[in-house]
Amino acid sequence: MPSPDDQIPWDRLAAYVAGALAPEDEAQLLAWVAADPAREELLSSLRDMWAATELRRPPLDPDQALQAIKHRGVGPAKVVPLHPRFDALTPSRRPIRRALAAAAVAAIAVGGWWGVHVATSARSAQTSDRVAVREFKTARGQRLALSLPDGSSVMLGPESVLRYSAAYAAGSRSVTLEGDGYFEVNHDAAHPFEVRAAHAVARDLGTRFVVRARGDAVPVDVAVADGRVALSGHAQRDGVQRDGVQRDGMQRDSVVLNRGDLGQVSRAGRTSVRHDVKLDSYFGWTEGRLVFDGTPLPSVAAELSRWYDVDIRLDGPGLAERRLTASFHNEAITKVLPMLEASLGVRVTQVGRQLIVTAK
Amino acid sequence: MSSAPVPHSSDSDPEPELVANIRTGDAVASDPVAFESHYDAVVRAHYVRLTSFAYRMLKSWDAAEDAVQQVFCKIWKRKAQLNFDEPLPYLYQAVRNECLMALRQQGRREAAGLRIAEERTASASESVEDAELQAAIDRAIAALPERCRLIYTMSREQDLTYGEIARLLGLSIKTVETQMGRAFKTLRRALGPYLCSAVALLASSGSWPSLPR
Repeated sequence: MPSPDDQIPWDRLAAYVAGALAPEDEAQLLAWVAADPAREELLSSLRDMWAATELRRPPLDPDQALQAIKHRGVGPAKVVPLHPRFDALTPSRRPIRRALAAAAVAAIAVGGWWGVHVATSARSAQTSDRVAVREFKTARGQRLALSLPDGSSVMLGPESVLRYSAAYAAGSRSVTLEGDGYFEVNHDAAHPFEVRAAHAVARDLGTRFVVRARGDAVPVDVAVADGRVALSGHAQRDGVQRDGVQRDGMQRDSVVLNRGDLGQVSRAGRTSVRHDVKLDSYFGWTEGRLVFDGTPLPSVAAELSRWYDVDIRLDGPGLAERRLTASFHNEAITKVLPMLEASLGVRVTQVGRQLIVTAK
Repeated sequence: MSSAPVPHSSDSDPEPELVANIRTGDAVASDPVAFESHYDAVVRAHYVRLTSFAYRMLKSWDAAEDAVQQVFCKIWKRKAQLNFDEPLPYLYQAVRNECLMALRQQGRREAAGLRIAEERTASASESVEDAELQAAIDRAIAALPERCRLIYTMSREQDLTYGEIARLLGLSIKTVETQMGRAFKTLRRALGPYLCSAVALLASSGSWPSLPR
């Protein structure tokens, strides 16, 4: 290059090629360039360089991105492990316990690897943009923590399903729940949050609450840790769900729950409230604690089955009346069953893949 | 417009800083329709450049889109009041932070021995010369001093004016001019051999190529 480097107006050349040179300076620069063919070569090569350093991108579509953004949850759905993996099992003197230990290990191993399972069901349940309904499903032995498009948090208990449509992001904050769900909702009076569960609708008034809806035959439970929830019943008749609107001539049965209240909605749509319940019994599972407080044994068996992905059956008279008061924190089933045996005076035997509870 | 004064860094500043400027409680505060319309416009206008910026930090297009979408998603959910007249300072800052977080996570995963999934590449087929040129370009840009590289890519890849770059980085326009000059000088020296044939062709044709701006 004939011109020594330090005499080359790099700043101006760069600005010119990048399209940032003020028009009044352009003439001066071009005059400088024209004075020497080597300078023309330089400018030409700088233009080539500018063109060549184009960033190669895959196709980026802002409109598609907009759709993806509005249907996205903040943070990924997170599987929350229920209890530590099975490792060393303490050998026991009673042969039955050893059998139980083996059964429990088998049950948990069959349940599969938690993370992949849930992730698959969450993604595979997603349908096309037009009918966008998101569904999150947990299997037995799993819990799932997720965020809704508005930033509200949900934790799903084992064997539960949560659904919401694209309309959620647009402001109609309605979700459906089967099973156990814990909700932490951002209050928005203009867009009330509601959970539709079996024959009940729980409407948030600024809260943390749990909903349990395990099928039509049992009442739907709603317990409130903070804030207020309006709970109302849908009477279900002839398979048609009615909202108890005035035009049917039916009064909507509804009640407002405050912290410490447990609301229940019967299958007929009737609501009732108990005050000052032990919140730990209803919220403990969100922190990995199974809490039973005078709970009838059939419910205990059902909950343990879901929690640990095992199959516990009661066999014998009078067992259904027994009640359990106990709390388990992240304990393996091999510790839970002996405690059950001891406190209720029962015996748990493994038969095939089932755990049978009999009176001692 | 109420805003903090843009700090001016001296040329000896090693670390470029993004200057955030969020205007609180403004024009489209309570009207959701207006909010959405402004919001959509901002996404459409800046999605590609922000993703290019994120790509430079994360070296993956998938990760870059994810980071930018995450930033926009948080704004959407919280209906956070962006300065719709001048959204870039906040957006650049937010995307940068999101990328730093992603890099930390990536670091942890790599430490745990977990493999990162393959990302899609930008172009399908290349000739050998193209591939060599591209590799040389990538090396040359990577070899630029950090601030110099940032400014060059913001201009070339993110389609920002000198004024916008100066504002975002808290620098004077003079500094941006100087850094661009340095980038050109350095890149020219590194890429000269690869461009020679192109220059020879052009010189022989006797006319200036008109490059699109």
